[in-house]
Amino acid sequence: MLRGGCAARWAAALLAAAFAATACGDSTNSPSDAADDGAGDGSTDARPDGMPDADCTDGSAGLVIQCPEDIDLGCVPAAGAPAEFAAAASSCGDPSPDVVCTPAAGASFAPGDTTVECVATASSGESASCEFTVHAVRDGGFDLVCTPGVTTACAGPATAVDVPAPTIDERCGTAVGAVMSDAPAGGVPGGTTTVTFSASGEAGFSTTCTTMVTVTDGAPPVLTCPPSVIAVRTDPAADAPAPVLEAADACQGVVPATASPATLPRGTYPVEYTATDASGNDATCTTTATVLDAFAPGWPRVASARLGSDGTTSIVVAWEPSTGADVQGYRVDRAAAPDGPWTALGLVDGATLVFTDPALPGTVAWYRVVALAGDLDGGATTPVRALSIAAAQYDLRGQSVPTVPFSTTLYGVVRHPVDWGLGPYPPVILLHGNHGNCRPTRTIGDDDCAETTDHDCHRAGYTTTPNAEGMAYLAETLAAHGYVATTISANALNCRDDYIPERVELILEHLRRWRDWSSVGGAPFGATFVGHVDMEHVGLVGHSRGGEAVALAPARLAATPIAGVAIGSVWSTAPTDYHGGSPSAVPYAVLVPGCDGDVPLGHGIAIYDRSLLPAGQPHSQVFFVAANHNYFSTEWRYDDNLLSLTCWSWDEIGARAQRGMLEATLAAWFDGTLAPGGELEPFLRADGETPLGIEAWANSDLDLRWSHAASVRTAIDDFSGAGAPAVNLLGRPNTFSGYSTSRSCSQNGCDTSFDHPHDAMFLSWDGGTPVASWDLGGLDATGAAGFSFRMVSRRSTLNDGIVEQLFLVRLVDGDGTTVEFPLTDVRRVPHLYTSNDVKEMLQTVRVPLPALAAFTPGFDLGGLGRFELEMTAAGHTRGSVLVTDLELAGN
Amino acid sequence: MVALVIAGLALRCRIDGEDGSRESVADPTAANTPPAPAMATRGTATAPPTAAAMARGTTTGPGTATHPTTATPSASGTVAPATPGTPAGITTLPPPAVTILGLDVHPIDATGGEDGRGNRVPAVRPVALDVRAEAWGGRALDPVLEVGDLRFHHYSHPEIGVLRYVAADLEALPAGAPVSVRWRGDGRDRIPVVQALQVAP
Repeated sequence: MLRGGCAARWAAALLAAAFAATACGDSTNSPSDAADDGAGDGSTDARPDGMPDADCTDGSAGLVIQCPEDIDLGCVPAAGAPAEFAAAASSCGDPSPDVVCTPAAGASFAPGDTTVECVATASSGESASCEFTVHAVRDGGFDLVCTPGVTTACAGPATAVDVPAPTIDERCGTAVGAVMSDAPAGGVPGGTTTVTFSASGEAGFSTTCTTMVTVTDGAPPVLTCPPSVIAVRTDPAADAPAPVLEAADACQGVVPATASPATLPRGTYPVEYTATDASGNDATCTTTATVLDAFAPGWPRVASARLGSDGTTSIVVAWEPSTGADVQGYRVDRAAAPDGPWTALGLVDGATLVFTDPALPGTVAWYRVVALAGDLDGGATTPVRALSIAAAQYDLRGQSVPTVPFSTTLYGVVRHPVDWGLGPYPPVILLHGNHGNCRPTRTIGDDDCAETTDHDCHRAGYTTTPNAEGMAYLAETLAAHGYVATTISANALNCRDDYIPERVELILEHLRRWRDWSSVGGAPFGATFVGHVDMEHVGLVGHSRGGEAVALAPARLAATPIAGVAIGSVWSTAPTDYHGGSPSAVPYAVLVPGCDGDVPLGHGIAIYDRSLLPAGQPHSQVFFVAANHNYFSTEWRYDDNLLSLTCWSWDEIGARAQRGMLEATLAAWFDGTLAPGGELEPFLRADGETPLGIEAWANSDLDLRWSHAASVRTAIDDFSGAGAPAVNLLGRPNTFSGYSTSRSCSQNGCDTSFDHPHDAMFLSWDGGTPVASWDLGGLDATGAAGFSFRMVSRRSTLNDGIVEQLFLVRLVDGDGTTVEFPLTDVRRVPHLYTSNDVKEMLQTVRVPLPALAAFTPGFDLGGLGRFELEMTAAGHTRGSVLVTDLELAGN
Repeated sequence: MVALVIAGLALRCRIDGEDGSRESVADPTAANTPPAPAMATRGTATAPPTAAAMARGTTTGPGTATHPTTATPSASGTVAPATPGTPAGITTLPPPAVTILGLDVHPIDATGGEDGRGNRVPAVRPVALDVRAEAWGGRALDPVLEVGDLRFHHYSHPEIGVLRYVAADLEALPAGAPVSVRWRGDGRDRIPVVQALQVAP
């Protein structure tokens, strides 16, 4: 093959050489190039001396080389035999270029075919090359000579072809046995197929040759488009592939058709399909393709689990709705493994977001939810795991608990996964609050108080109040998530003055027992739990006084360590706050019910606010509007918000909603803080709306107002600094212009409704264009997940008529690039809530920095200049808020 | 029966001069209470319940929400929305009422007691102040006995229906003072016990 751009005139050499190459740069040639001189006239030229004739008219060196024809050495020994040959070369400026052949002339050539490459190099440095073959047959061997090619027309997907047998040249030896062929036994498919023949001789000799069999197809495939086709788009970030069509081909059978366009967004479009067979015959047709959006539903969760009296585990799966506009329903599938195979459990309509599997088969099941567009499958959720659960119990009498001045009972109601092979599982201890421990046998009446030193009520006319069992529903849901959950009794500590420190000791005593049961075993469980409980990651859950006790427990455990036991996460529901606990050293969350008729809202708030420093662990607070105190226990049967003490009774959200919210949220909290590799869901860190799946299970719209402090955070301002409010914690200036009031304050110094033991910035405006600005001094926010602050709409007539605060949030980087957006783009800050005892509850507003930077070209997270709130830009000419806890936050 | 005293349902107090604006504290019952027709849709009660009505248990719980329902599979594998699975323990029992039966003041054998001013002190003429009721349920907050200006915080339940405080000195108790029990610091849940303390010499 001629390579290069210059012309070369080829001559018919007088020597045996039949082909040559010229050099324009480097070039090579092959026998197929031999007959043409490159001038386009099909002629060849030669010099009078027989050397190849170089074209010296174009100014190039014109280096040409000619190889000899292929050489047949005939029969040779196994070690080979020498061959003599010479390649001829000439050049315009160098009549005798150097020629080197590899292998060189005179070298020994082994039996078989050896390619010899010769390279000519002119004095100018240019080179040209050519090749030829030296053939030899081993003494005693032979040659197979195949027909080069056979062509026939197809007679179907496989065509019977009579491929000629090769001839045998036995000049050096004879063949032994039959000649073998690898021709397809069932016929040859369309296109070109190489058939190889092989034969063996004496002394291990064997050789092969090939025939190219071409089966031709002269007819195009038959492609028929239906009037219309439908495709489903499962990913909002990508178009859907056009539906697949196939053509029928007489030679190939099925030929897939390609669509143009190949991918489509939602809508209806003409699509052309083309099918091309192996012989290059094609067919086309056009149809109308409709693309439906049925994206995968979001975030499947085990919202609830129940252990039936027959030992079965029922599972409630909840999920987030698909955002696909064409979703008409969902199918819930179940499998024994996360990769299937899947069994359809049932179909629900597009408005349904929960599904109950009444009996989980086996010890573990995986669920997924598939979006449906009509009867077509759309996207599917990632699988979510649910574990079958079992019950255990202990009731140890006459036990000693530090600081408790009497022998008492260690009583626990245990729910645990059945399958120990998937553990070890973190343990969770749940502790109820102060409540009557004697339940009257008459049908009406709340539980009554009687001092007892053990678990039981010993009064005639009463039974023992099952306070521990009141939290069993939480234990069951947690167990299905993979925790060994124990709800313990403090009946002996109830109805006593305070006894909250003693509750802490009770928790630790249970942990000591669990440490033993999980390591060496012992009565009453023997070895049941040995090796199956991860005591290095203990979760604690408490309600009411129990909620305060669990908040105090980490510090108490640190003061009185239990070898092998570490608290990994704590949740308090409606806690009291008599003892000033500050669970800053562990992941901590507190639920504050908005209609708590028993514990003033300030108790839970105070624990959260105290827990913020020092930083290092994630902390969350959720203010649950319309929830009362008692209904988080299934055994606290009466509404503590008696006679609308705190809220109008008819505004309460009810027991089902409270418990549905708590069990799903609590499980999400522990999955994010206690489970290996866990990460908090966005809603738990004030970075997303309440999951609709949780609301569906709670059967209510939940008004949850979250505060969150990330484990990794950079404090910008909490108005506690010496220069507050003029100077922030970064040592940079703040300005508050255009406000009728702008002052830093704390607790009642802010106003009587601000129950936080915390500093804040009081901002009121009544006309003008008030702007609050925090100088950030080039703060590096690279790697931060969010810029967050806490805010509350004050109980003020300046806020009359509004349902939520609306203003602009602005971030400016070092070179003045600005991102600005309405507050409601990231978080709604509603104005107060329905209550007879309104307190101003701070909630977190979190601005997602990576998303902001991604959508704002040029915005530099590496150097933030300032943060601003502009109050009236969104249309509110009057208003009043409290702001605090500005910080850069990780996840 | 002594009904609970509900106070301050309609707070409205101006903060004059706080910031020179027209600002005052908003009335939550005015600003946040839904109009009556809306209330009627939340349950069967059509007006705020009276204490008597609540005590008799004539109201129902929260109204039915309109959210999606839970579904359970049928034998055929296709399911229709069904009644939600109900978490255990939901009850429509009537709310309890604390029925005060009386106050007994009697000598007790004790080495110490409260002085009513926040201190535990050695006993002088210790007496038990037993507030008798049909029953005392446990609550998150500790009950506080108010005797005139004195406050007693440390209590016990020697038997069902008795809430006992120990005063260190009978002579220090203000005869004729009103006696009540409350839990919250703001006194919103205060229960009168007797209008005038009777102290036998």
